[in-house]
Amino acid sequence: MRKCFKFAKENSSSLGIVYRLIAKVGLKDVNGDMFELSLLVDSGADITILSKRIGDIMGVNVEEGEAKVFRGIVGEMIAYVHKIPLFINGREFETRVAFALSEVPNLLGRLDIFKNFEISFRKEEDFCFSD
Amino acid sequence: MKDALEYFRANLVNMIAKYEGEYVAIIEDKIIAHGKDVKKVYQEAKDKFPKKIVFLGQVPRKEALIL
Repeated sequence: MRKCFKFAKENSSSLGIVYRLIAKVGLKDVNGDMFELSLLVDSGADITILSKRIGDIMGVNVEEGEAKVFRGIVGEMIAYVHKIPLFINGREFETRVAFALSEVPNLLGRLDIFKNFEISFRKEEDFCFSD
Repeated sequence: MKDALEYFRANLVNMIAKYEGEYVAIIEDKIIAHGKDVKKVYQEAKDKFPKKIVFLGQVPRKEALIL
């Protein structure tokens, strides 16, 4: 399997043009229907993190998960860890995900994901997940 | 079939100007709903197109990110 995503060009107020790694994953809603979500690929994030309202769409009772403390660049937060099926290019991965009670940038982190792929970043053009 | 992520990516600069900090629900190359509450955005799109796969794009804020 090889799945590539183009970098997303954005015009930030702080730095002007920046290129971001936006990928698409599949998740299942409370009725079992597939939906897709944009995620920022973050090799510095130990775990994938999603906002609680994404969990609500999925029918996950977020606060019944394992409460863990996580530290980011501006401090620490409690998030609730659940194991959920996450799909990349149609392939399913049982993935531990931390759900934050507040709205956060949804991030695709390393745990349970990166070990399955060779991930390459090609200049500011694209990034690819390969077996 | 047109790819919703590709549409999201290609139009992100314009989307930040209009929908900064919101979610957009996209099916193929059309924005079906938008708003800050992603569950409501998703439900609105599913109500309109119950058989379609909804893509939810999180439109970033205009500031650069350090994560």
